[in-house]
Amino acid sequence: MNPMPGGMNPMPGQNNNNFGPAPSPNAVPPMPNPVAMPNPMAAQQNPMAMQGAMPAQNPTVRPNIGMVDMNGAAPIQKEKRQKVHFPLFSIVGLVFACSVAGVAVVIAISNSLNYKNLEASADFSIEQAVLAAKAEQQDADEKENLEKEKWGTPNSWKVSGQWGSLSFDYPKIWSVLVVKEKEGDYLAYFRPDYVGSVSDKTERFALRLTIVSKDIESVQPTYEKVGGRKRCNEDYASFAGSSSEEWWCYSGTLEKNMVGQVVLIKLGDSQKTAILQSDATIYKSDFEKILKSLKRTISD
Amino acid sequence: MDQNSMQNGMNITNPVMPSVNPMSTAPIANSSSKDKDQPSSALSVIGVIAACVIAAVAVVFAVQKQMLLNGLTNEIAVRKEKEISSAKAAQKEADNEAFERKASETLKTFTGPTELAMINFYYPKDWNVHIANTGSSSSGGVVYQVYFNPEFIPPTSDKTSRYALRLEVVNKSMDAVQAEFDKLVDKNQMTKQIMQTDSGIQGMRYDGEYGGFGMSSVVVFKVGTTGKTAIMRTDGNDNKGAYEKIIKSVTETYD
Repeated sequence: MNPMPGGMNPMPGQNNNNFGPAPSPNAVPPMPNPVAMPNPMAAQQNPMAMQGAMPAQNPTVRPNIGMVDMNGAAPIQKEKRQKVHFPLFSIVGLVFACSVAGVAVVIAISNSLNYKNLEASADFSIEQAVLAAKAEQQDADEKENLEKEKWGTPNSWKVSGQWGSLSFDYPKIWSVLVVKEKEGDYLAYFRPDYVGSVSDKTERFALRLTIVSKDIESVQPTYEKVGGRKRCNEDYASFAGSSSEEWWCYSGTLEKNMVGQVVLIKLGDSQKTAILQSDATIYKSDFEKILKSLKRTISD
Repeated sequence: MDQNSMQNGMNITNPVMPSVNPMSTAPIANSSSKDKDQPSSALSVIGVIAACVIAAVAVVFAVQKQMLLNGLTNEIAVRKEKEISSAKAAQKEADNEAFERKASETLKTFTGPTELAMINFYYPKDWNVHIANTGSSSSGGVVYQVYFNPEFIPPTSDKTSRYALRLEVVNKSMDAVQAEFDKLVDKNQMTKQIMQTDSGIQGMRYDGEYGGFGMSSVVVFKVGTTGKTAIMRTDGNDNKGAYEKIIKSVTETYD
């Protein structure tokens, strides 16, 4: 365990281990290093001289401070150090406690920073949220009020006389232009705010109402190419006496750059057909409301 | 060298060393270690306790901060919800008020195209409007043509159709347009007088038989600095009251 005390500098290759086999009595005793160690006899004769001579005579040998002093009275410091040990649970406890403390401190600092940030940005974030909420509310109110304006007290459109009897509601804020009603087919255009030029191919109308003097079977082929025909929703055909054969709905591309809906209705003496067409999908909900409000009378 | 001499030799070599014989030093070392273990154990327990106390304090501190943070978060959330709720309510009230105000209004604003001095006036909001010519083409000198009428706009191709208001902008000077109406004045079919809108626009007003609709009214005025002339006309007397208000409200935006 301990190297040879007293500045003994064993020869290279010599067993320096105290736990090793005991040297044979016949074995040659270890030769003291004449360089590292002064003559022991001389030291015995003059210990003071040895003490003083050691570091000076062999500066390459580290002094064995703390192992034993030359007088042999001092305790062995290294031995003491080795003997001071903490129980395992203490070490584990210390590590654990320090870890917990470290994590807690990090969390505390993080929370503290978050608190300050949150406090500083609270007013701004609330302000932003309020602005967003106001804008959202404004949009919702705008839609709601527009719907109320359009359909709160709707206008009613009536066609009668030679065209049979047809009526429906339409939004109050729409304008109506009647193009032909005296001779030939009946043609009326409906649009929010104003009705534009009917000769302009780019104009899109919320509703085109056409009544032609043809039976529904002869009008159908014109619209067969549109999207595919289907029976109209039952909700549309809510008036008395109607049958599914008297209604046809079409939805799809009506013309170039025009996607809308068309409904054909048998009208009057069965030799007249009403064609209701909406030119754009943005009018779809209004168009469906119009259809739901539609009433007709078939004269026998 | 015999055993004694070896022993002596060793003693001579290191006469003061007590641990030359490891067997003899072991019990001494063990008893010393045992003595030292007691304070070191106590020290380690104290150290652990101290560390635990520090950890506990740190945990309490962290929990306190977390609670403060949670409290502030909740407080802000509650405040935000409250302010959003009151802002939404206020916005809804304002929107409803605006809607009611708009619903109670009987007039609507018409604004013409920018290139025609943005002719602007009020008209009854339940009237129908048909813009037949937007100014992109000129037909018979008419570059802009709008029809106004209650209920619906009758066919414009029908010469007998009456309108509450016709607005036409023609590509003629005011003098040229006036000259046509002055002929009717000369024939005593119409009378003429200078009129002024509320905004200060001066024009010439003609009243009398015109277009086969009985007593009608026509107002002629310049369209800004475009060199064009606006003609606002009502067919018959049916909508004369509204027409008077409309022509008084005309404004223009000059270059």
